Amino acid sequence: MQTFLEAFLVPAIQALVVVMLLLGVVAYITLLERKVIAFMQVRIGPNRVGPRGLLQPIADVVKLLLKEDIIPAKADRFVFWLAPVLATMTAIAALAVIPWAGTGATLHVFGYEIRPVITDVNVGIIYILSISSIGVFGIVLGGWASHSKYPLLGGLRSAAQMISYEVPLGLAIIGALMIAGTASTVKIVEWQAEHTWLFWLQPVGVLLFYVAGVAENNRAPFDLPEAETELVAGFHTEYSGMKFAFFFLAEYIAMIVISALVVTVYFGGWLPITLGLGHLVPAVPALLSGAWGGPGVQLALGLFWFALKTFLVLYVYLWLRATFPRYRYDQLMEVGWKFMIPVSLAWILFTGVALLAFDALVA
Amino acid sequence: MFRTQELEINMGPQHPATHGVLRLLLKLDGETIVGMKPIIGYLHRGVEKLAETRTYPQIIPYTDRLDYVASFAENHSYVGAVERLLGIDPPPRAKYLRVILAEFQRIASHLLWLATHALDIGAMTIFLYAFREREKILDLFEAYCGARLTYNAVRIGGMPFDLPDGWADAAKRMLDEFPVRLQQYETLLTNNRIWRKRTEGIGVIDADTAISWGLTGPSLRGSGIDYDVRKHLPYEVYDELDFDVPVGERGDTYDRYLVRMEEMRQSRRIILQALANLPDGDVMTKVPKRIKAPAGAEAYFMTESPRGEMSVYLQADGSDRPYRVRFRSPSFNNLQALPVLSKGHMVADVIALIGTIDIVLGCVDR
Amino acid sequence: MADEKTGTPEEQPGDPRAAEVPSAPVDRLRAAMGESVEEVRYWAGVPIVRVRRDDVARVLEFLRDDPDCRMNHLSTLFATHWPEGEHGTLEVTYCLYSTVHGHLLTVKAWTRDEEPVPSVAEVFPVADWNEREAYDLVGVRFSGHPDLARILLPDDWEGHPLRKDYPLEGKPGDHKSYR
Repeated sequence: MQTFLEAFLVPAIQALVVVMLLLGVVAYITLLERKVIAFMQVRIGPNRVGPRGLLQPIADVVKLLLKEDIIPAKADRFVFWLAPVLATMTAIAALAVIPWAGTGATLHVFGYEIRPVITDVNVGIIYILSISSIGVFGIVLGGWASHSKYPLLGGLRSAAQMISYEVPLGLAIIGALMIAGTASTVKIVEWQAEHTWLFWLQPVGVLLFYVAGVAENNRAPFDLPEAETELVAGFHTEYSGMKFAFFFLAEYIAMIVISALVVTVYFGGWLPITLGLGHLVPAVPALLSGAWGGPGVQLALGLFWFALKTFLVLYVYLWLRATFPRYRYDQLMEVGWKFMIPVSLAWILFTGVALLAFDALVA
Repeated sequence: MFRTQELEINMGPQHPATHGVLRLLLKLDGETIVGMKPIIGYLHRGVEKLAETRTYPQIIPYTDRLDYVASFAENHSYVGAVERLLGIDPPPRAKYLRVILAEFQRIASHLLWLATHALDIGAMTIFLYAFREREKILDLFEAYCGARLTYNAVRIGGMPFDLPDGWADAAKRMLDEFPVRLQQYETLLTNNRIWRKRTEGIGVIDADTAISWGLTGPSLRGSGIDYDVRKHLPYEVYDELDFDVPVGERGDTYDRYLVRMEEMRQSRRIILQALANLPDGDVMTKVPKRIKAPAGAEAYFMTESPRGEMSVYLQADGSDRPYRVRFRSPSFNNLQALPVLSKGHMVADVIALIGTIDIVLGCVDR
Repeated sequence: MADEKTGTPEEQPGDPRAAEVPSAPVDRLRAAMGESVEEVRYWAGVPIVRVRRDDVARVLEFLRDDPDCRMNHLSTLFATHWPEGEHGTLEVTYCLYSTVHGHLLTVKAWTRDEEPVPSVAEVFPVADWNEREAYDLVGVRFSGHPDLARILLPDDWEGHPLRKDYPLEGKPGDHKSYR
């Protein structure tokens, strides 16, 4: 029976730690993106600030903090301020249900139990999807509050795109939920520990989910709303300084959320990188996951594997950006509505039938 | 309470994708373009007026700044007009050199077109790759005349310099690895689903409309008319060289893209032939110190610049300065067709269309 | 006889550069619209035909549509100011080419200030902007033009800079609103 303090304090501190770490990580992801894309484009990327450009994110943060905060004369001031805040908050809030290690990594400190997830809601996946829906508001309001034509167009496009792609995003993941029998992120990873990684069983699902995630995130090749060459900068044209930094942050954090979600649901979360085939040689996953050590070891290893896998999925984001041209807006919507939704519906049907057949065979 | 109205938006003179100071007044109904009006003149420098106060050779550097992306083509066009006006015939070696440099200029200009066109549509990486090739060509030009962008590398009666030692070998080296690179770009774009969706069926114009709107160059050849000045009205030594002129079928952006890619390959073919057949001799013929043209003389010299037909009309009055110089720029005439091309398309397509007609504002505004 | 000091050939009667060349469009034009043709001369192998100003649009239409001419490409259109011209003060030049037959032809029409030249924008849509430029820089008016407005200069500019009496550095009040 947890006291109120236990139930409130521990997750609060965990959340604080996660947010702090996250901000540092996101800053370095911006550098990673610039370097990775640069190497793909036969150039070097930032290498002036600090050794090999490693202090570049710090320089960027300082610059954005010191920039003049310009608000257009006719803009709605409250909404103008609210939009980036909304976008970032919802992106960060989605990380509340992602586990970074197994239950074996639960620490006991001062009599408090610290589990390797901020909160384990039994509708974790649905929670994440709904929080990201609220994130759309941030963008729409940003575009509208700027009182300018280009941001308005960008905000509208972005809103329509994000709302449209939420449907395949939700539908694609249903297959995985059906197989695991639960919507809780912690339990999905535990299912994968016992059986196998879900991407083997849901190849179409993982692809659909990832592509819908990229579109949801306004990242290339679906980044028309903020396409520099067409709408100057879309919904964040009129934003400068820290407010712009927040939009920027929100985008990268959402990238991390989608990557973390893909890893958690389909690639085994914090499980070691045995691709779910660990049952063939049980000693290997046991060794890699630190079952031989105490909670500290398990925590460290779980976090390590989780971070590695998330990083690999993030790399695909960057790879996509460097390679593909961008879709025109109506083509983007076409792909979402006319292709992805029917395919994900068909996939759900297929998964359901396959499950029934499997149960019948086994029984 | 609710009503719909058309949005009038300014794709203003300052915009990341208009390749210069071009202003487009767009009337939008949602995303669809209902009306478009290009407004130009932001880069007008009065070069035709300036030319009337300079002597014939003094005008050559001005022509560099017209189409600054393909300045050799402009130099060539102007000097050809003066030579036709006076009946001067440059020596064969000079003609071959002009062809070699003109074709290198064509490749360099098309690489820049590819880079910016792909960048506008979203494929950022091609930009860097194409510029890497262009760097090599600019290095060749720098070795020849000392400049990377505005060459001033043609003289009335021939060429200013002969090729430096090792230039031909460096050129051949660059051309040896060029097909591989072109293939790389094609792999990234030509069969890429997104690229095709963004360019097929966009900006379709049929042959008759195209030529009546004054489109020339790859913009016209994408629609099926094989009008290439190098074949129709051969100048320099183009009639002695063997090359094909690629022609498209449907007249859309994708076809124009394919035409320009193939043109780069054909240019390479021309350069290799010209280097192999380069005659010995002088690069400059005897030309009077003060060049004067008789009153009543008028000449029109048409060339195929990378953007289209670049021509110069000269009217002389007997002095050493021209009475009137007229620069017929391909970009000015191609841009006029933009509203026709963009009928019924969307805002995002405008960017693709500006890229496909390949305009340079220096040439449009003069 | 070449001028020894400058080495420039002077135009002499019999100057080879002014020699007549056979030209199908000129022949067809003389045959079908002979009363519009005022003068034909040659330079560097290209015929230069001066036509009556009011017939310009019909001449160009004939050249475009006649099966032996098929001059479907209006390469350029521009105006020149001749303050002491004998046929007028403003000369409009049209350079035509046939991508079908390969003929090259230059047509000229003369007018004076304030007397408009018929616009050929209906015959060749490409003439639209070129005529606007001729109006903007030289001041030739074109009748029947869809939208004759300044194109290269700001809309409120006064004067026509490409005229011979317009100073190169511009007039004192030119940049009044752009300071």
